[in-house]
Formats: sequence, structure tokens, C-alpha cells
Amino acid sequence: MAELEIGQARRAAPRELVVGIDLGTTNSLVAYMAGDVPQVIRDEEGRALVPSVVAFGPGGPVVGEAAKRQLVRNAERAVYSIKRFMGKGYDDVKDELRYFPFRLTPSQEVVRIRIGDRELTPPELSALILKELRARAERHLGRPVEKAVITVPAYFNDSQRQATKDAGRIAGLDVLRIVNEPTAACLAYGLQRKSEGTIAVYDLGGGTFDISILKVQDGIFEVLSTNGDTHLGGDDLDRTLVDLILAEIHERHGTDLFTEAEAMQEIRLGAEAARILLSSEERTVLTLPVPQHGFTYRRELTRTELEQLIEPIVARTLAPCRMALADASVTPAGIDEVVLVGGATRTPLVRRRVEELFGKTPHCELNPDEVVALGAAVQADILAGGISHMLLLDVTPLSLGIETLGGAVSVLIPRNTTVPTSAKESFTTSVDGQGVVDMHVVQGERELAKDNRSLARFELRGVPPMPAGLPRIEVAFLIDANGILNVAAKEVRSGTQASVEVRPTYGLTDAEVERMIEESFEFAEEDVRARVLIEARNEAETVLRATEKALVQGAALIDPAEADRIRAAAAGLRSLREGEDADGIRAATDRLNHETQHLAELLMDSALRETLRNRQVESIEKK
Amino acid sequence: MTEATGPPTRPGGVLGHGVLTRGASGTVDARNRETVKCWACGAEAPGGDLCGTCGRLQPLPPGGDHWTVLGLPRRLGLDRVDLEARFHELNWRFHPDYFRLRSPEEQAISLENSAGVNTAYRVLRDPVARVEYLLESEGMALGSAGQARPPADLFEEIMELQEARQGFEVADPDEAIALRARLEAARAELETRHAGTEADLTALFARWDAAGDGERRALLETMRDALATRAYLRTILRDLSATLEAGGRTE
Repeated sequence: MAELEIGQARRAAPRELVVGIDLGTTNSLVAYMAGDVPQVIRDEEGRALVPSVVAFGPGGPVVGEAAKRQLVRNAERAVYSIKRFMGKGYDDVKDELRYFPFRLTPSQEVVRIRIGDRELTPPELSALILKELRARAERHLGRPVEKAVITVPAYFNDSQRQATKDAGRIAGLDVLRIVNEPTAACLAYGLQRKSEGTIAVYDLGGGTFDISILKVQDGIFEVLSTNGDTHLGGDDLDRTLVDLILAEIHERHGTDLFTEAEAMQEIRLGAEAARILLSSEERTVLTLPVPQHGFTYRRELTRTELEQLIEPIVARTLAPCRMALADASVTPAGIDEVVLVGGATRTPLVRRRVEELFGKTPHCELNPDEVVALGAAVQADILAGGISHMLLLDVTPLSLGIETLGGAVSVLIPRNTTVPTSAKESFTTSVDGQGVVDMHVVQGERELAKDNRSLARFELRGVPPMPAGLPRIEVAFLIDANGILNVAAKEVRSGTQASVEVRPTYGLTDAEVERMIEESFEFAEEDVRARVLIEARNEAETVLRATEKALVQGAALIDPAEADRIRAAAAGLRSLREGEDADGIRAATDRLNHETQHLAELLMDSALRETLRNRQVESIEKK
Repeated sequence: MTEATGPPTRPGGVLGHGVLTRGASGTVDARNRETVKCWACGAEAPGGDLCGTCGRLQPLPPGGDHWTVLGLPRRLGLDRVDLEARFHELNWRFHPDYFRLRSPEEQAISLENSAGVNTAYRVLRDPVARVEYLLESEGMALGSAGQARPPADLFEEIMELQEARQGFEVADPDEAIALRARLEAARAELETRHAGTEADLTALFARWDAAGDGERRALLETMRDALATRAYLRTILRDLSATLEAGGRTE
């Protein structure tokens, strides 16, 4: 409908659309706030989970179920569990590479995964998953999706958070907030049940483990402490079984399948399926055909046997729980509720151990696979200006500091500090006339810098020549609400503003991210076309609806010939609306707008006359 | 490159431990003014968090200490419940979540204010950190480990303990068992003592709050000594635990 119709006062702009994304090790989800209720977005078959798998075939990358189907037959070009590599260096992950069929390029910096003749970083691969989720949301909502809240394990360090944010940027998303997964889960529970008290969230996902202790009171979700292991999850439970199967195959057939990508995938998927099945069944039969060697591995497995295998892995989650309790100054008896999050918490042994530790039956009313995405949608709604009665106060999981002379660490911000937070500390030089100071920012709980996570190195240049010990270099840390660190440094005594150049140790520089965004645009022409089409269809819909309304209201104002012309234009638009031709839809929309111009003016005049008449009536009544 | 380079060092006793302060970079403009004006519209005395004239978020008053940030008098005796209530209240007012749709300047102020509140709360809620902060702001900071000293009444005992610790590292199995028992007993005792230093400190809070300027200085010195003891005990305990975890040579 022509713009003039706006005389009827435009409605307030709809609340900004921000989706919540759970970017998981095994599966990912996207959710949004449908009115007052967070809702997970499902595909046409009703599936909420998008497998976090990217496969590269002749037709370009595919993501999700389609990629998962290629894990076996296209093993070397199908990448999964990407999250385990986010923000990591080659040395961090080389020990577990034997479990993965894909290859990494050895390097000192960020991990690079080789696929054919291309090399891709974990943020680029994660970006492909994010794009898939974004497309799913756009199809469902019929609106472009540009903003998102993405969740990460609470125990993710700064590099891993930054890598996740980079993935969002490469996917063309404005990442408004990085939220910790257990905290998001607590928000989802909080919205549903309005519970208060001290809550422990035990989150065992596909590849990561978190424990967070929160105090919920008057709408404030205050995280008291968090702990965990970013390399511990369902994947590790499966590996115990994979190792058993491999050992038994070796024993029975004398064959070592470690180096055979396809067979390894078959075994891994079989182990995963068996482990999941044994959560509800007491026994199962593993049947794994190995056609390459002409045999089939068959074995009965009971839940008890599985539990013996996974017991040491489950036990590894308990020490972080105890540390989190100690850091929060809470005893198990002081915990009012325990919430379970993550698919791996369906494992009966996990539930038993959690129940033993905290002395109470854990909650799992909300689907443990979906609760994090729901919470992300809640936080997204807070940021979009919707919900205003909830406030999340999260913490930084690991201490942050600077390496000082001799390799010791000076902690500026201790772990479990509420974010945002800031700290400043003064340092000086150790050599006469030292003009450059090397700063090394580290994260972790160890005394020596070399034992902690290296986050970034930077040089403070332009310190005026002074005797050792005289300069006063002030280093300022600021952690934002995402838990991401910003560092600034200056020499105070001389007043010189020295320059700072930060080089992330295991991350991407801004320039690299920019380049990846550009590259992704080249690959993503398809995406852009889809968005343009969505927008054109929506505009067409709006104009058609306004036209129908105007034809009823203005029936008496125009002659039948004009009404017919408008109807013809509307019919023309309607016939194109469901097609794929965005330009055609837009042209037809413009044509309809043109045909309704006259009617819109007439309606406007009559509305004005109506208003004036009402005023006169009012003024007469007042007299 | 001809310039000397190297990692930074902690300044010695003179500069001491850097004072943890609220990040003030967003408040530089306001600091140089005699009267507080709204940074956005220039109105005199904007009053409150939001300017009474233009409604924009204002930075926290510049140069305020952690007590000021939380709206408290400068006292050592603080009520935990009250402190937490202020922490929550101020986060409702300043948290970046609720300023995302405002201007970039207000978002930056919201981040700085919120960081200031959280830092103030972190320091003040912990009685030991509270005393350390007070000493720092009074120019009486406890320096790095060098100033930590053994409590006089434990001096002999600690010297013996250090010998036992060294002995344990090279002891044969029989000796090691006896020495381990002795070291573990010592650790338990020192842990009790370490925990006791916090009570020693808090016992002085009410006195410092009520004291005049002259007496306050002496009380601060007493507190500094208690902190020095505490730091010393922590170092000893850490070394002791490391020794016990590593085990004797032949154990």
C-alpha cells in the first residue's frame, strides 16, 4: 500500500529480533522468544538439533543431518566436534588427534584443519554451522536474522570465547553477547518456575563439562562460582568404549583399525549409539560390520559393563564440583536445587554420582538438550529490550594476570569475579633505558606463566629512557559482560601514551577475521539471495494486506474501474509472491503501490475530515 | 632493534602493590571540572544516575573509593546483607544489558560503572581484601612477599619445621613416615593459625571505625602486621603442601 496510508499512525517498531544459539560440540540449536515463551526452532521434520558436522563435497559444504550422513563414507572431509578445537593451538590437541579422521596442519598458532587443498580454522567451520542455524531461523520466522546471543561453556577461556565471537562475525551475525551455558540453563529454569535459592547447574555436554553455583534472588541470577573442564564430555565417555572395541578387534582379528578413517567413524558412531541406548536399556548388542577386512564385530554390552568403563570419566567431574562449592563458600547441604544440563546427563551413572555428591535428586524437567538454547533466547530478549525483570551477573572462570620478570604471574583479576570488572596494576622496567616492555597476558590458576594459558602478547613501545625501576607502567584490564578481556597499558611518569599492539596467541587477528568475512561472502551469495527473497515476500505480504483493507474501507470512494485495476495489480503480485523471483516480486509490489496511490490519498482525506468532525462534536459537547 | 626490551617487573616497596581502582578512563573529562556537569547536555548538577535534564546515564563520581561507589561510609565494619543488597541494586541501575539500546557513550559509561560496582563489591565483601585495600589507600600497602614476616611466637617452631621439611625430601622410608606425620600435624596447626588471623583482623574493625585519627594510624599498623603474618603463613603452608604432595624421595 502506498506510503501515504501511514497517515493512520505507524505502529511502534516491532521488538528487535535477537536469536539465542547453543553452539554445541555434538549438536547445535537456535531458539527465539515467541511472545513471553522461549521456543526452539525446529526443521520441517520437527527436529530441533542440528548435528554440529560440516562435510565438504563437490557441491560445497553441507551442514547438519546431511553432513552427519557423510561421516563414514566421506570421513576425511567431514568435520565434527569442532568445538573441541576452538581457541586452541596444535600442541593442545595433538594427543587426541588419533580419534579424529581429519588432519591438522602443525603450527605454533591457531589450529588449522586440512580439507582437500583448503585449510580452515575452527571459527570458519563453526561459522558454517551458525549460518545453517541462521538460515533455519530465517525460514521459520520469515525475517532476516542479524543478531544473536551465543552460548559457550562457562569454563571456556578468553581465546575460546573470542574464537566463538569470531565465528559469529564470519557468519555475518552481530554477536550481542556470549553467555555461559549453565547460566543460560538457569535463566530458562528461572523464567519457568520462578524459583529462588542456591542452585547448582551440572552441565555435561558432548565435549565440555561445567559446574556453576548460582544464587537466584529477586530476579538476579548471580553466579557465585564456576569450574569445569573444557575437554570432558560425552565424546570422552564414547572413547572408553571405542578403545574397548578396538582392543577386542585387535585381539580377535589381529587388525588395528586406528588409521582407517571410515572404520573408526563406524566404531565411534556405534559406541555413541550403544552408550545412549544403555541409558534406558540394561543391555544391548553391538554389531559393527567391517567390510574392509571381511568381518563383523559383535558383542553384547550391559549397562554395568559400560559403567565400569566410564566410571573414571564421570569421577573426573566431581573434583571441579567440590572446588566450585568451596569457591562459593557453600556446602552440598546449602544447595537448594541441582539442575542437569547436556545430553550426557541422561547417563544413569552420572545422575547417581551427582545425587550422591549433592544429596538431592537433580532436576531435569526441561529437555537437557534444549534448555541452554532456551536460556540464550531469554538473554537475547533481555538485550532486545523485552524482559526487564531478570538480570544475570556472571563471573570470569579463570584468573587473569601478567607475566612478570622470572616467569611468575601477577594476578590482576581473580577467578569467580563478577563481570564486567576492571583492575589496574603498576609495573616497572628491569633494565636501564628500557624502551620497550613485553607484556604477556595469561589466564589460569598456576603460579608460573608457562603453566597457564597464554592469551596474548603485546609490546608497550615508546617508554622514555629512564633508569631501571623508575618508569611506572600502568596496565588496565577490563572484562566486559561477555567475559572477554580488553587490555590497555601506559607509562604514567612520563605521560607518554605508548602504543600497544596485541597479538592473540591462539586466536585470529582482526585482519584475519575481516578476510574470512569477505571470503564467506563469496561463498555466501546463495545466502544473500535467500535473504533478499524473504524481505521481498514480506513486503509484498504487508502491501497486499493493507490493500485488501483499503478496498473495503474505500469502496465508496473510487469507481469500479479503479477498483478493478487495483485488484488486477494485487492478483499479479499474489501470483508471484510464492515464486523465487525477488526482483519480480518487488516490481509487482511497486506497481500495486502505484495503483493504490489515489485510493490512499482519498482515504487520508476522509480520515482527516472524520477527525475534524469528531473534534467539532467534542467541542460542541463540552459547551 | 637497539632498544632494550624485557618483561615488566613489579615495582619495589615504594610503589607497592598497584591499587585496584575503578577503571576511570570514561570519567577523565569530568575529573577536571570543578562542578559536576552532565557530559551530554552540559546541565549543572545532573543529579542521580541519569541526568535530570537529558536523561542520559552519568559516570560514577570521579576519584571515589570503593565505599563511595557503593554509597557507604568509609568503615571496616560492614554488614554482608546490606552490602549484597547495594551490589544488586546498583547492578540493576548500571548493568550493560539494560543500556544496549542507548548511545555508545552511555553503553561505555554503563560498562565502567558496572565494573566499578563489581570491583568495589569484590574487595569490600571479603574482610581481608577490605583491610588490604584500606591500607593501600592510606599509603601503607603491604609490599610483595619480602615484607611478609614470621610471627615472633612461632619463629622457633617454623625454623624447626623448615628443617623437617628439608629432611623429609631426602628421608629414607622409615624416617619419611614419621616426618610425614609430623609435617601434617604442623600443617593443621598452621592452618588454624592462618584462619585465626582473619578473626584477629575483624576484631579490630569496630575499634578502627570508632577511633580518632591518632589512634587509627596505630591500629592500621597492627592490622598490617597481622596481614604480614597471614601472608607469611600462606607461603609456608603452600611450600609445606607442595612438599607433602611430592612425597619423600624414597616414599
